[in-house]
Amino acid sequence: MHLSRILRQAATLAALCAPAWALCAPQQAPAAQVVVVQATLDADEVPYARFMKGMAVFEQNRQLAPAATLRFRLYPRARDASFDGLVLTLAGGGHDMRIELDAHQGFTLPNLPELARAGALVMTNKKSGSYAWRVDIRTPGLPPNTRRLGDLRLECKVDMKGAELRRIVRNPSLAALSAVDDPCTYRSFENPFFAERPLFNVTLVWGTRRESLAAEWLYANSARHLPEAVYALADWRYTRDRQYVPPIADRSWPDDTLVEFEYMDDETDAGAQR
Amino acid sequence: MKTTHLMLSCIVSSALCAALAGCAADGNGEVAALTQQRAASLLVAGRTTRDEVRGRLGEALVSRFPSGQEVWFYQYADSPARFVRYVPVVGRMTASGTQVKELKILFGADGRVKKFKLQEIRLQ
Repeated sequence: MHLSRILRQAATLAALCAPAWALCAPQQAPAAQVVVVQATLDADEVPYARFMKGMAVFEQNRQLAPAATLRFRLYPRARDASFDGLVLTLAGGGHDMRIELDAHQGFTLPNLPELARAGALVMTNKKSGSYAWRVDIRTPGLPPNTRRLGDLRLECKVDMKGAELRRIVRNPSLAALSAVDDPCTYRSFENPFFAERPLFNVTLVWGTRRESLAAEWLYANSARHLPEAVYALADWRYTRDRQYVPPIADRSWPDDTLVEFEYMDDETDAGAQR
Repeated sequence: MKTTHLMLSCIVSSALCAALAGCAADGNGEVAALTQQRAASLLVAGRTTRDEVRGRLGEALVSRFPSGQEVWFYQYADSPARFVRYVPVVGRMTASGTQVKELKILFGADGRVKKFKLQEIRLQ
């Protein structure tokens, strides 16, 4: 019984872990139309309908982060990814609207079902693969350099059950699991997140309970057995120093648990701390 | 029944194979007895080099970054879990909840210690 559970989890992990190209191919422009091309060929883009689906999942699961707001965000993905001159556009269905980006390349989108039905795209003016697209859910008023675990849980759920922005294998077994259950609640399903800057230490804090993440859960170390070529398919190849995997499936940590970050460039006294 | 035996064999053999690699990643075992004071004297920010650390503590699990910075990890677990924790899936299942002692060292692009952290960690 125990062994079969382990093997089932192993199979789930194997099905879920290997990254791959999962985003859809760029859509073709309708024939016999004259358009002014302002976007880059093979642009970094995501169907607007996915964001809409993510927004719906967010509303259905607000209990995980009652005070939080939903945004989306771009992180650098390609080695030479730059945010200089970045323009984000919602285009399709006769609309072409520029989306405002904040200082952290975060953005919100309007709720326009007709555009989703018309196959509209959210696109950048940069080459495909330049950015890692992410759900960004944040409860206001948290202490500096912290995240809230419930916010991260909801980010995972919004992505897996709705927006599907992360580049991971969304194979039939994962699709089936997502259809009947929430993959984010499985300990064997790794959920990497990005911090603001290169990380040195990540600590979960709930009351007097404090636990730091071990080596395995930082810098994509858990993927170190994979061939180097696989890294090219992942979102974190050039941002491993910001990557961490919090235990969002471990319900012994409440949603209000704080995830504290110590960054590589933070000053510390003598360096030795418990 | 045969299938179960085969699966058990696979898991056990994987664990044994990985035990060798796991021990190597732990360095020379110095971390087991390392105290905060001893670590502070051993790892001096801006001075101690990677070669010096390797010479004292052995080979580490190393994370290298495009910035040129590196983070080295040394772990010690006083339980059988230390022998299987590097086995994909199996190690994770077995080691979950295990308390380990972990020394983490950040090296700057110049190859010298920037800071370190020695702490007890419960593996997820």
